[in-house]
Amino acid sequence: MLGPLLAVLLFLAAIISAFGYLRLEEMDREQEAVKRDVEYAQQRVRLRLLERQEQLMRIARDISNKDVDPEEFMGRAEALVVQYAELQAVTWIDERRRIIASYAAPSVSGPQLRVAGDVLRSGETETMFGLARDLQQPVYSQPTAGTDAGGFLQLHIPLADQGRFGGVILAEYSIDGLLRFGAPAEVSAKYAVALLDGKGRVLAGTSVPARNAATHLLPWAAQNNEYEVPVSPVGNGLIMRAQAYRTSLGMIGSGLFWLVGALSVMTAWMLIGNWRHTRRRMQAQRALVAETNFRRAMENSMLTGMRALDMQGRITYVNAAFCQMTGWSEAELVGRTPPFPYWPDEDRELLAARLDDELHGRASTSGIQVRVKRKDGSVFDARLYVSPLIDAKGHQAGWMTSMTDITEPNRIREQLSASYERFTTVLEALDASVSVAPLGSEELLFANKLYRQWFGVQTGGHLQMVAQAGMPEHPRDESLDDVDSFVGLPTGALTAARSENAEIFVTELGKWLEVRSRYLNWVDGRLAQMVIATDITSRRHAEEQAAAQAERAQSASRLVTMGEMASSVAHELNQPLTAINNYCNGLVTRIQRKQINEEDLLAALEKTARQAQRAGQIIQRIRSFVKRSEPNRTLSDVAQMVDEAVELAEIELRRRNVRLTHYVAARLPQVMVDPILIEQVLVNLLKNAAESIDNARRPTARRSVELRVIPQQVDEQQVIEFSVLDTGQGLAPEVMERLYEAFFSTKAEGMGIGLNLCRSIVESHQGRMQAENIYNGAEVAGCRFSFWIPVSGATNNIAKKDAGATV
Amino acid sequence: MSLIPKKGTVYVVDDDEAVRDSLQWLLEGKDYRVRCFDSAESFLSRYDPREVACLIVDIRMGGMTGLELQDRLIERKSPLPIVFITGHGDVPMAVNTMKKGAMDFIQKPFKEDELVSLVERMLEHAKGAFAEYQSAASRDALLSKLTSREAQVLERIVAGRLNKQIADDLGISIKTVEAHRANIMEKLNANTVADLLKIALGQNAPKTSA
Repeated sequence: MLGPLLAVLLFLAAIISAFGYLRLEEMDREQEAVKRDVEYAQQRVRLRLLERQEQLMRIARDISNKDVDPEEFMGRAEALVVQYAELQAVTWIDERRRIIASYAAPSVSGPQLRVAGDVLRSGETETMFGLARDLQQPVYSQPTAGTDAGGFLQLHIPLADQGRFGGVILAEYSIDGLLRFGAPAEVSAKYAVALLDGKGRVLAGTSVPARNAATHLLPWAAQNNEYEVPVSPVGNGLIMRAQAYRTSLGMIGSGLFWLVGALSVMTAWMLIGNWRHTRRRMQAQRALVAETNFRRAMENSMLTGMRALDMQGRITYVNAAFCQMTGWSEAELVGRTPPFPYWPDEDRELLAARLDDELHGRASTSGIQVRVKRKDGSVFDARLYVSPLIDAKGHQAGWMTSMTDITEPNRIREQLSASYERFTTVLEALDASVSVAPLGSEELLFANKLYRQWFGVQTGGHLQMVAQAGMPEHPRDESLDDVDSFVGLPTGALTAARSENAEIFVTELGKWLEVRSRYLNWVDGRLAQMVIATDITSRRHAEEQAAAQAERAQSASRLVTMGEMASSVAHELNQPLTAINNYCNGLVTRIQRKQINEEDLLAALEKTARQAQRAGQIIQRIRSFVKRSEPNRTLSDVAQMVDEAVELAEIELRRRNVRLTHYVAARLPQVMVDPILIEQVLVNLLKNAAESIDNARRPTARRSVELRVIPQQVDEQQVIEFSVLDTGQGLAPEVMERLYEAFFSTKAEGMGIGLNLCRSIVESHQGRMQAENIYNGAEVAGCRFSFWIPVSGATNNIAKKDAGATV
Repeated sequence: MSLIPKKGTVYVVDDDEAVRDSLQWLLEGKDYRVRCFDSAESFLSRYDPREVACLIVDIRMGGMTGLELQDRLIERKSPLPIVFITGHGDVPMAVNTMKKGAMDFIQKPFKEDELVSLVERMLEHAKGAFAEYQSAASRDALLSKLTSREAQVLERIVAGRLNKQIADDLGISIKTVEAHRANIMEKLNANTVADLLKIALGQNAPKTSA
């Protein structure tokens, strides 16, 4: 993948290096050319200078030989100046610096013009003059740019006068002219040629302006293509320089480069594009493979057999499930034409007709049931569904058939109907009536035999039972009921709710029925109510009898209790009677003696009356305790009950000289009890406690009974606990075991029904009773009887029951 | 409570306020001075034995019972005559009190004349008993002056033994016995042996009967 890209990059690098090499080569060549041309030009200038020097020296020799007078000198100078344009002036100066003769070109003017008879001015020229005199050799001046004499090059040629210095011939060249006429034209045309002084300043000619700073940074622009060479007779004072003009790269070379470069970039771009395309194709291919595998797995995991037929009825495809179902392999089935091998022989014609229907698109959408033969010859029931197979172009290419083995469902259906039958039989034989009716409808969804016997096939009986049982036909959610009985009903929660029980009397049947109802989702999804009613008439009678029996027993027990307390009661009654008697006798005495005033009389009579009332109250209390009354559970105040019981029991306790302290917790909730029965239990326990203390013959200080009534928590239930703690002799272990047995008593005169009855009374109030000895070290210090009665549970359950019974 | 004694003082101890109050009403009608107490304890703390009085007490009371009160009074050698008020079923208990020296018991409700005559009887008895109580108290005071040796000697004199025998019994000389005798006679203010015997026996008599 990277290979082609690398190749392109290598190719590009090769092109660039080749181009670079060529370019360097060319630059080298150019450099060479500059050098050559400058050498050539310098040569020409030198030759020209040397020629002039030669001619001037000839003149100088002639002057030295006295062959030339100033006039002739002027003539020859004129000839030179005229002939050679660069030569500006020729001057003859004697040894005393006096100008003998001078000829200047017409263009010379001003201070440069030398006049015969003038003395040479001190300055540069004078210095050169001195140098030429001393050296006895021709001397060139070192022109300097920017000075007056800058534009001129002077040549001092010394004259010899019989071996002595006889002055000089001063020739002055225009440097500009020297360049113009000395340098060959072809060189000047190609380069910027200039003459420079010793310090590199331009004396004449042109120079290429410096490039801007930016281009200087470029590596190939660093070296300017130029060449300098000193003009030889003058020496280092005069330098010739040529600068090549910048030439653009050859269009052909760079064009080729750009073409190749563009092609390379395009090739790289194509490669990348190609590579990306390939990658996308690979991804698509992988996705396709995954999808295909997924489809394959789906087909294989399916329990439904799939078979494709082409338009001629030839099998083109079967899936794994189909092969597994029929037992034929894929190879054996694909390509087969009807009759297919899995057709049972006897159904062949029927199946051929079915296939014909299928091929002509007449198959029913609900599928067809057929029999299929496996390879091993066994036959099973299957259901076929057919749908057309459409190819990519939208034409029908055949038929797709799915096949389901329905042997198992058939068997289950049969089993279901059998079990339904059994279930119905059981329901019919049940000795309870079972009925189901939807809410808010007269329709009876289900009723068993007993229900039909009792109420017929109408819903009336069902509804009557529901109404009588006090169960709402609609769930008790009023806010929802107001709108619609079904909207928003959480049916799941309803059906999960506990079924409710009630006992009702159906006058039409003359029977007591125990009715249980619960909500259920009927098979069609409707919310329905099921009512199960059991005949409990006989049980009810037995219960009523038992209740009456218990009540009689309780009543009798109270009488017994009172009987046992008779002497105490008599004592208690004796007190007010004695007081009344005393008051009356005292009154009689006083009245007989006439010793009484009205005030005392009234006070005594009031006291007497109060004592009579007291006696009456005692009798009333005993009467209400003993009086046989219907069981009557009401919401009762605990403190009041305790007070009543304590007052009764105190009669006995006082007689036995036993002190009673009682504590009733504040703010106790009311309890749903029969107060007379609870009082009975309390009186019994207190009386027993006093007897126990009496029997133990405790000293006065230890003759006390404590009654405590406090709220408690038992098994996460709010209860009220009553406990009676005495200081008697406690209970022996064998007595503890038989404590609640009927007719078991430790007392000589006891009948043994007290505690047994107490326990049954407590338990009928959903309470519990227990007894324990209190130890002081190893010695028994007393005994604690306690019982509790639930607060909430008792209240709710009994309230409901009573409400049902009294309405 | 008037300062002028009428026919005598009657203490009433009963924990039933009505019975107590009515009894007071009844007895005051008969001109007795009546003092009521609601418990045996409060009676014992305020009771003055020098007063001639009688006690009517309920046999059953919260706290200290009538029986216990009787025991306390016997301990104190109180001459107070006691009558118990009993309920219907308490007769065996009442009999027991009689054995311990109670005058009588009355059952509720009381018959007026029965009660009054009983109170009369008790007060009569109380007068004698208080006189006896006073003389016994003075005798006790005299006898308490004797040393233990003198008491031993007196005991033998009363038993009728001779000086010589007494000297033998106690292992002392006859002279010493005679000296003791003289001292005893002086301390008890007795001039003759007969006086001595009277004082000594008068002291011993209640001791043996109790």
